Amino acid sequence: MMKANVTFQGGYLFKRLRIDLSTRQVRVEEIDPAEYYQFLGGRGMGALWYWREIAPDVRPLGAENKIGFFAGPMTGAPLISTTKFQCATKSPETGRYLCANSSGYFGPYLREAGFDALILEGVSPSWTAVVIENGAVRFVDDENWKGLKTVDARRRLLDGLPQGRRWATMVVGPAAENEVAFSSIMVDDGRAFGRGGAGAVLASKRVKALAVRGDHKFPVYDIEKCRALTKNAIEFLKTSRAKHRMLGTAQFIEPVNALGAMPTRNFQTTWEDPETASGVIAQTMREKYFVRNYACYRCSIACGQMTEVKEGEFAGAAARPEYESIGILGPSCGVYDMAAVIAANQACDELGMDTITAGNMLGLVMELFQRGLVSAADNDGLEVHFGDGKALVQMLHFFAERRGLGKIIGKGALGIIAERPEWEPYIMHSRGLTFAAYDPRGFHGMGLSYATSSRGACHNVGGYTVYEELLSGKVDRFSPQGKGAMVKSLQDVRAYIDSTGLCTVARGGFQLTNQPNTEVLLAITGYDFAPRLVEIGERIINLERMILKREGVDRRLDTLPPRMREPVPNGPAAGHAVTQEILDAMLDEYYQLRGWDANGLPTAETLKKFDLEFTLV
Amino acid sequence: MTQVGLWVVGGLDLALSGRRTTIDFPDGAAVGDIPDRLLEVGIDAHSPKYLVVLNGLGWRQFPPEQKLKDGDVLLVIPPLMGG
Ligand code: SF4
Repeated sequence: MMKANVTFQGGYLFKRLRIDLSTRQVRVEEIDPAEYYQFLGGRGMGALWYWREIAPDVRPLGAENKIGFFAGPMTGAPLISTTKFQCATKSPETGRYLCANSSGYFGPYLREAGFDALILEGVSPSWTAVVIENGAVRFVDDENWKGLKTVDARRRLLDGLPQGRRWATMVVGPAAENEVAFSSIMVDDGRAFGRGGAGAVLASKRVKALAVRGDHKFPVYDIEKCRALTKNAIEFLKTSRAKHRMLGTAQFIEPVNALGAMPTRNFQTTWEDPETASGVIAQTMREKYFVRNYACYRCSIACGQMTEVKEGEFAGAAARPEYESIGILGPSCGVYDMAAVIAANQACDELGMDTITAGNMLGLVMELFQRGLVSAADNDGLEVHFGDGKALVQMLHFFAERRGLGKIIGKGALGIIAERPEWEPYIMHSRGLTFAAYDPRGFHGMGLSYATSSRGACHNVGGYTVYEELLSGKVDRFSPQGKGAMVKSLQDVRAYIDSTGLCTVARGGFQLTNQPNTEVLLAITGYDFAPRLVEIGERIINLERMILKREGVDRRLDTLPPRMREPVPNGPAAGHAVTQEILDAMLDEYYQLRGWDANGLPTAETLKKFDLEFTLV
Repeated sequence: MTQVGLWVVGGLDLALSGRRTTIDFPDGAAVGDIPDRLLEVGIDAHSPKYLVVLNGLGWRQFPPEQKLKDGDVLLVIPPLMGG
């Protein structure tokens, strides 16, 4: 590791808490400042840790897998939206490296407890909850943790803890206990490590919940500067993110549908008649179901839209639906009843499942019924057809309980394909992670993004191209040209943002862009990271690629499912497809700009450029 | 007169929000005239608050001198972003 010629004067605690669940041994380890110099924090530090500690033959749900949580220098910092922290582990859904981020209070409170990172390893002898208060760790063993929904587990955990300062929590639900490959970790009362199945990893260690709090003062280099920067950011975000507060990310349902990129009926089509689609747009959500805004730690934007169904079949359901959840649980399942979507979102949260993969799996089941490939006899008597909101919610319980088709669906995309290869054409995934609610045939850049994302098809880690593909005028959303450069840049920025601890929605407020011009990290750490941020993002992507190489990934696995090669049958994107030629053209440009060879692997020269020679083992 | 469809979606705070309508451009009007005409109906095509799409593609993608024709459609949406 290249030594940093800098001394940080804030932002980091340099302490990692490691808990061996098998022996209950607790260790506090020192973190080398040079690692922060090279990898910043959060996602970067998670990738470095994963490289060192998770060997390629580790089984995701085996005792040898570990799970780590990593804060960035801004996590918990006295600014705004400093809520994010990262998780790294081997994913039961993809069988490979997983990075995931979550908002909520856990990351900031972990820092208040005195740590930048938390590592869990081994397997607890009994079901337990891990309670961390400042430097002290204790275990609340109880076999009755098992079977509780996430809300009930959280309530029970909090009821048993001393009052006073607020606790931050993480819990898993019944889906995780039943090894559902796409089970989530719910953070506090509604944020999540959603993608990739981190919940099942935690449950495989017999950890039902964690709680943390502390009273360490956060070290900051220049508090006055932080105040000034926060004032500016709030001012900037008041105008630029006003709509986020009002409508949340649900505001994108209507435009993405109007552009013909909305998955409908499991990506068989990419558009729905606007009149029908209006059932699940943001304005409908606001008018009929909105209760209040929800804010994460120190956030003035408060983009969360708390909704509740007051009457009808789904009365009592409550959730905070985001764009991706609505798109995948709604239109992709042929469901245009917002009440059903809210109920399905709630079921995912309470059972502890990723809404995106759960929605994709519902779409799969519905298409299997549509094609007559399965029947009620295969599914404990339950028929599940496109458009059936009630069956949508019921089937989610089947997934979590591994009932009916849930037995196989719970294995996730790769597990299903291994058992039923004939179903593969109906599963939209890259490297085992299912698509978010954007069809790449409507935005070809999203195809490259899904195919090359470090964790499988992810609209964030892979690079969110949708906006750029319409804004600049330099690229055409239906063409491969320029997408390599675009995706590379978006991925690099995202990798460093994920390492700061700041919510991406707020990054504009601090000029954390592809040409970062900001004093915010200087104000926090005493070191001016700004000129090196994009380079750090690139270093992280290259390290992740070397992890993936070690796990068997190269160009052959940077793919899209066969449906993407079929032209869209109707709507605004009619006739468009991401053919193999188009994908290859995008990959060629992307690899070249990354300094990777034609097989999609970093060259020795590239690794040297980013001080990653240590991965050449 | 060239009649161009206009559709504002995504909950934008605009008088035309949610409606499909038509706006007239003078004969011979071109893509480069879009911002001025949209300004007349309260939409600043250069504002980061909006994305303007012409016939399904970003409007800046077209040469400014390209003539508009009857049946062209402008879609105005909020700036999209991932979560
Ligand atoms: S913008 Fe939304 S997701 Fe980001 S910190 Fe604020 S409330 Fe949380």
